[in-house]
Amino acid sequence: MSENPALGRIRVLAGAAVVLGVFFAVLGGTGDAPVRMWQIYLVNFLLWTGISQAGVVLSAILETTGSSWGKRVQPIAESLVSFLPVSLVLLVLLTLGSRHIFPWVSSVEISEGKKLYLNLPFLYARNLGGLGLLSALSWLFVTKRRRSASGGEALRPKALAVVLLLLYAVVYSIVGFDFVMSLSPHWFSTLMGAYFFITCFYTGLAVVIIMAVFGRWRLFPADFLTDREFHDIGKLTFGFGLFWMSLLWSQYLVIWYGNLPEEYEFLYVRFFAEPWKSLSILMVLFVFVFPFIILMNRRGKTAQPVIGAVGLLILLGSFLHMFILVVPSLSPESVPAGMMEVFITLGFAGLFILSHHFGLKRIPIRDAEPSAEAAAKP
Amino acid sequence: MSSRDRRIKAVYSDYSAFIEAVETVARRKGVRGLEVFSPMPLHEMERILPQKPSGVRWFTFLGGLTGLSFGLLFPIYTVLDWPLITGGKPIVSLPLFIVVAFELTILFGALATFLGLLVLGKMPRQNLTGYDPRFSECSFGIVFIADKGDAGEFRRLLDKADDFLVAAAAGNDGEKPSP
Repeated sequence: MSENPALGRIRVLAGAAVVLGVFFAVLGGTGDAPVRMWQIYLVNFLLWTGISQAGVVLSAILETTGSSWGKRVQPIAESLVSFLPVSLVLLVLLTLGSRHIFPWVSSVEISEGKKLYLNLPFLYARNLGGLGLLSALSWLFVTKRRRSASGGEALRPKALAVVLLLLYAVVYSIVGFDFVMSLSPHWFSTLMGAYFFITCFYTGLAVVIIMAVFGRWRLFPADFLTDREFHDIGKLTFGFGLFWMSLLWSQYLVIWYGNLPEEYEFLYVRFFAEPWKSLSILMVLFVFVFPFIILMNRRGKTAQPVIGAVGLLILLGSFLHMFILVVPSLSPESVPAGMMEVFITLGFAGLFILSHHFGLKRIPIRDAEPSAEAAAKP
Repeated sequence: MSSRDRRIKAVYSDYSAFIEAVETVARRKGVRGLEVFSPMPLHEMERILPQKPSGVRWFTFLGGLTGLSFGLLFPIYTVLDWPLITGGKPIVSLPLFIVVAFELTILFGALATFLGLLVLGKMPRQNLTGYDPRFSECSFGIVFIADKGDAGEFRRLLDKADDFLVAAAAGNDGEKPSP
């Protein structure tokens, strides 16, 4: 079977990005400021793991609600499942950096009661166990749904989808508490868990949009996706953008109202003090304001370049968002932005694309057309 | 409106035959006041009979703006009218009022949209020309005005209709395509 040339080129680029990323990660991890390497590693781990899980969750939601508009969106969304095994390996690698990313291991003293929950063996046991179980269920669900979509009636992926959704909320809450909240050990927020998994889901929607736009442009048969699918997924994204903003506002409001030192510190560093303030405002513009304005319009949801740009905007904003959640807890004084941050992020993106490459095979892909340059070759 | 005009009404119970008929009629020259009746929303009509963007959006927009300004100005007016410092917060505490403004934007916007639908749809409407009770039960209908000479040809074109009626177009025709 001839392969689509667009995919081949992307694979080479992604592979190069991974090699560079690994190089910079080893360089940073063994250098004199390993915390810089580990914090950007954690940011990317959370971002890309959240995205790939969100793809499966979107498919599970469409399955649970029995939506007919999503039949064509489901295969695209659930193809993201292929990154989940990789992300488990990345989580195991993260244990090497525990000393640098968790302040309560090295520098900050926490109470005996908190130590019952915040200790490394228990933390990795619950996260590896939770994410492992969720990944296994996701894999099972995707396999079952693919088989039932191609004729197997008795598989009932819907029951599995419900379990998957409930488990997603629980496990991703724990991930949010452990890998975001515990980085500033004295701060606490009940909303953090829900806020975290909604953010992940919203980012996942953006990535599904990007994939759909790219797929319609280069990969899928011409009539596989129509304006209707884009209109619907645009509406969903619009709604979740509003929801995300209202969660952020609920969080902001109670902290602003209570005005308690141990609560406002987290917010103060991010939203009221430079250098993080400007970055946070930029993040809210990218994640919420611009997509909100653009997606209000019907043409904004269906015109391919526009909705593709919105997807990229949300993805970029979500990266900034994860960066702002994680990094100020560890290095509050300045924004670390250098070669290392860029290349490790690109490395993760490359890894994501590479693993995803194998997931794509289940979607009907247009056969390679002899492109102009291929025809010109002797 | 000349006396040669005839109002033609075709009733269908078969959906695909109905869609086909609407496409046929919409393409013909000399057809005026084409109206389509259906007991359920038909998204396909947006493609077959493209219409100008509905004016309801202006109702929504103005309603939303009214809600936004009311939701901001009313709390500000009340706290300034009877200033009480609570919890050490400023008198005009915008972070709180934004929640009120947001909710009222949605409430006023939604109500204005409903009002806009009533006004622009001229509802409730008593004398709906060409309406047939069957259109609210299980049938689709096409009603339009054409020249007397064409009536026979339309009868042939729309031969799949359950019922085909031709009547003189009444003189008091204020009818336009419904918005």
